[in-house]
Amino acid sequence: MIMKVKWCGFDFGQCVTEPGGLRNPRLYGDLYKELGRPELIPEKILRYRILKEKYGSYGEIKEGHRDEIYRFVLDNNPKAIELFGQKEQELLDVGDGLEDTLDYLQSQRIELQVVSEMKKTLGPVGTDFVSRSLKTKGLVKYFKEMVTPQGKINLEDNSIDLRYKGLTKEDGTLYDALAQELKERGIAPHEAVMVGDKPDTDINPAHDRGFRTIQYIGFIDLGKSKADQVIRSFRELKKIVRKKE
Amino acid sequence: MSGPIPKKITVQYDDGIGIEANFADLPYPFRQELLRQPAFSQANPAAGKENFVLLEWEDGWCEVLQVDPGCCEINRYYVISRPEDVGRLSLKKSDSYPELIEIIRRPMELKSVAFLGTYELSLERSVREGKKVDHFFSLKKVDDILEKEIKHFQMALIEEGIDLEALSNQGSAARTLEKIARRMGIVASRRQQDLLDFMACLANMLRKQGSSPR
Repeated sequence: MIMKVKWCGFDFGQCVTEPGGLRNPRLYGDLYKELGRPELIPEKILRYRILKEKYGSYGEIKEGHRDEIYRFVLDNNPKAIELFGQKEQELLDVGDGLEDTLDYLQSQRIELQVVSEMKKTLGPVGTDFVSRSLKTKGLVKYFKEMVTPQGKINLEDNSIDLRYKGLTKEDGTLYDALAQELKERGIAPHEAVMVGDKPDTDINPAHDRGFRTIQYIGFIDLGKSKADQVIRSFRELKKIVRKKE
Repeated sequence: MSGPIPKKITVQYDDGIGIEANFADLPYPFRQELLRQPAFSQANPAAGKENFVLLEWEDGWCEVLQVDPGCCEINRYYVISRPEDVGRLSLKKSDSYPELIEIIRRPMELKSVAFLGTYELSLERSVREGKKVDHFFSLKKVDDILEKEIKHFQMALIEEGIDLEALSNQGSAARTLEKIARRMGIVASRRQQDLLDFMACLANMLRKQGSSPR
């Protein structure tokens, strides 16, 4: 099925970026070697794994217990905390085949945006984890803007459109505002496609508001959704998505 | 690991200089590694059945390890495949962070875990994340294996011709306990002293039952 669209939104975590490169031996290995304390690497890895056992997943720790990473794993060492933030970004992988596909979509003159819930991020808007990662990975040339519950962030000048403030993907209010904004610019929801991995935040609420939806299962398959299409590789988008004139 | 807590470690150089460090200041895995060594192992006569985890595999292999006395229940067991398989058994502690036990030997074929009861494992779901797959296992409580182990211990004593009452008085108690363990088919998972403490614990339990073979 070919989708003819004018706008394409991408989820950030486990979609645009993948945490596969964030393996503990590499993250803590690099970090503590840089700190000049390589002897601490096994202990730090073990502590992080223990923290995972306390909260169930690394995602849970990062969403709500970052302070405990700093305290229990990094001993509140300011330099270690700073390096941890840097390494988290450096070691994130970009989804396989993504840049090639973004080149294609851009050549089709399809507008691209990141639509992120920003649950695992800290820091002021513009210098937050997602913004910094997009800048570090050189993806700002594709994504000039990012729609988030903190507002729509312009990644070039860090200005914020506050009409999205407090809205979320999960309850669908963010997609309501997005549909309204696109409509004002002459783009109907069925001329927009949302790409993401999470049925509950990326796919189902967007689908319910008339957006086309593509579930990306290249990194993780989170189960059935209302998605119009399911892809394993971003390269498949080149066969599915065309510009709507 | 439970038992007496080391306080200091001294490294003596061949030029006569000795450097001392607080044991607690050393990295945790290094402390664990040191305490695994027979040279630094101390028996823990106070260890009770609640201090041991007994692991049994599909092929009948059986391992024992001693855990922190604060451990109070099994949290979960899962295996990460990357493609190498590593099992992670975590135990809840009432007053601090969980204890994490890594299972390297055929983790997908671990059959049961005995810790404050015996639980059979069965694969519940597998979740792929990029190049790794997490396999999560459910735990079903079954008849406690410990009762069977006490009987096996008693049988092993008879087969080896060892008197239970004389066991603790023998100068070669460690070798005798190892001999019994071999006959029972139990090995230490990470520290030989854990096995000896477990065997001593079984002996105590048998004594309490008042059923010495002789």
